[in-house]
Amino acid sequence: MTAATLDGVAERRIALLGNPNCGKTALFNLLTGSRQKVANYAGVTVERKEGAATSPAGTRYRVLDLPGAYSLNADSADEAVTRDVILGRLDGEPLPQVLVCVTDATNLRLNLRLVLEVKRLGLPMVLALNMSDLAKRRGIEIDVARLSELLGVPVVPTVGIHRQGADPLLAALDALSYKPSVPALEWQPPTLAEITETHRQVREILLQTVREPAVDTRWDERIDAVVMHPIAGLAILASVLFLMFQAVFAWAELPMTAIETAVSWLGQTVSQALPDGLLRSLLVDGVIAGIGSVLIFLPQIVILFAFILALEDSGYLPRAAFLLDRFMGKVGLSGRSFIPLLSSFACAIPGIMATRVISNWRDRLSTILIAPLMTCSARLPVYALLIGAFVPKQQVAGLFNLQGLVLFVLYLAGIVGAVLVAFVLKRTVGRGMHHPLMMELPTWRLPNLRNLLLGLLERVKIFLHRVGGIILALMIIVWALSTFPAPPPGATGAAIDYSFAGMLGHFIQPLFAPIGFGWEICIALIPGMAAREVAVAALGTVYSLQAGDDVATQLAPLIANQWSLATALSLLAWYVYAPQCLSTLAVVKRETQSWRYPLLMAGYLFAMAYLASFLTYQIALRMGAG
Amino acid sequence: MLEELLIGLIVVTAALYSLWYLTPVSERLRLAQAIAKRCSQTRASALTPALQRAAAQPTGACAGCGARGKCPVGQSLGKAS
Repeated sequence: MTAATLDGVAERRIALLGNPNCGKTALFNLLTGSRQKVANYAGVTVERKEGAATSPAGTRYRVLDLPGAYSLNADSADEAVTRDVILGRLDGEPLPQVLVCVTDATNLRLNLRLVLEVKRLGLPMVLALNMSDLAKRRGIEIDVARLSELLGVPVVPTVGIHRQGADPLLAALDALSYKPSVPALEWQPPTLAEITETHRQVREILLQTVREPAVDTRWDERIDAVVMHPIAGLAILASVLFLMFQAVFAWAELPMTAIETAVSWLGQTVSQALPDGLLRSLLVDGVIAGIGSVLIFLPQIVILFAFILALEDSGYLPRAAFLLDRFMGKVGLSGRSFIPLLSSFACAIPGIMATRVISNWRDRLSTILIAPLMTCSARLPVYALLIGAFVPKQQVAGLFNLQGLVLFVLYLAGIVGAVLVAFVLKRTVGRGMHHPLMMELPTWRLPNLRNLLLGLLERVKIFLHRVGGIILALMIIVWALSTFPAPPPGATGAAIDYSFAGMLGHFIQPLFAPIGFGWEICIALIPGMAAREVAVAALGTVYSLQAGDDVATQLAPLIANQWSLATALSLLAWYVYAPQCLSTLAVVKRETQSWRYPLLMAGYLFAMAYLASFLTYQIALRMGAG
Repeated sequence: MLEELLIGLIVVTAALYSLWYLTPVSERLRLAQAIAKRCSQTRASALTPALQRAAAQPTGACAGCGARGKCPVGQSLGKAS
């Protein structure tokens, strides 16, 4: 079937499939100009993605990027997506006209098994020898013509990370003839004899087409010997994470000051330009104070993600997963849990979705339930605000930044909490047998600058989209609730005390009094349920209405004067554990198909947060931090 | 008076946007379909495809980047066995 487009020009439908980590998504991005996530380890794609490509000859293609699979005999939900799409079993998804089987040219031994399996389906196919530049550099010689002859399909070398790297593939696709429609395919899981025969064929093909250098000079094993050493490896992992959190505070100062200055100038300019009234209050106290107090944390978020993306692209993260596998097994988690949990440091939602690769339900449920304990990036503005306000900028042992050290401890507190909950779940919910982690380790490489910059650009866009969208909208609502109704004639207190927000804050404050939260914090916690960093913006607006203009850049010193250290520590403890984000609970409901688990998650997280805040506050008070 | 009207409009728009943003995609699509059905015979029907596209956009945390596979660290999955 040829897809008809809106402008009436026919499109050819092709699908990219192949083993995990063979560069399908990089090739997809190159073909379609898309910016899907690329990482140097397996399993980045869990759902099919679609984009459009045009060849130099002008032919238009609709390109599907499918999740990586080692076989059509699906073992997990994401592999099943690939199988169902290429067999035409997915409702509303027409069968692709041509399959592009993407292989890692440096590891054909592993990749050819899937190629042979797919070839038996009988669909037109092109084989892309991706990362062919890397294979050449390593001295691997592939006889492309002979490989094409043996397989009976066109074979083209591609380089997914170079601008012209997909041109040979597009030329090969142009040269194919396309059937107007393809019926759904029949497929049976391979028998043991068929699997054995496939292995034999792979060996035979490799013998005739691939020559590898006699001496392995790769550095990978040497680096792995250190990085994956049970003791040295853990020390390196701790050092890397420590450096990351130090950098978040140490390197962000200059750009944060620049943003602060710009926000302050904007606030003053608007104040001077508009007459005193509601509109000026909305713009200065609501929009600029609220948005400005979140926006200044953008440099810290960029630095955090620059580290994570560089570690991903280098190939370090899967090694860290192996390093921690034995420990995770002891606390009741699967080795497969590591990377979903790691994803949760960006946001719990993709982390929870990533648990689809865990085939054991109990292991998956445990991972889902602890994912929100990993500190997501939306919590960073809250941490940064409170650390900036209460932790002095000083060096520890003449080497470490104290603020970075505190941030490291907060992240660690989330991890320790997750380990404890996993241990309790192991004892209560139980778990299946521990399956040791098996995972294809990518080769070490220097992070690709283009991938890194694209990833950071995407992160900045996401942050600005949130700031200019939901955070702005919620700030306008918080401003309205904090402004109306106006105080009655003759009122002596602050105007905000008579507003809806003030009334609500005072109403729920007794519940939070034992953990040291004032009514202003209580107001900020409510919109923070929609997005955690909104709590910072809400504090900006509330204090701006209370204290006057220019709070966006002065929020940290203002709360440092008004709150006790015990309250600040208590709020930090609250933010480590509390489930402030409703979207996470909605995704848990979707992934578990039940309200039981999101309610269980919300219940235990609130209980943990309240207990942690209570203990922190009471201990801090007794130590004289009140 | 004009200032108060403008403020009211901004606040109502912000409230509607927040409601739309925080509503699950399935509910938004249902609402968009209901509106499309109601508007099918009117000139407003020209706007319904755009409404349905907007309803299908995942939002949620990280602007729904997880669901769209756009988050740089979003779908960092370990393909392990």
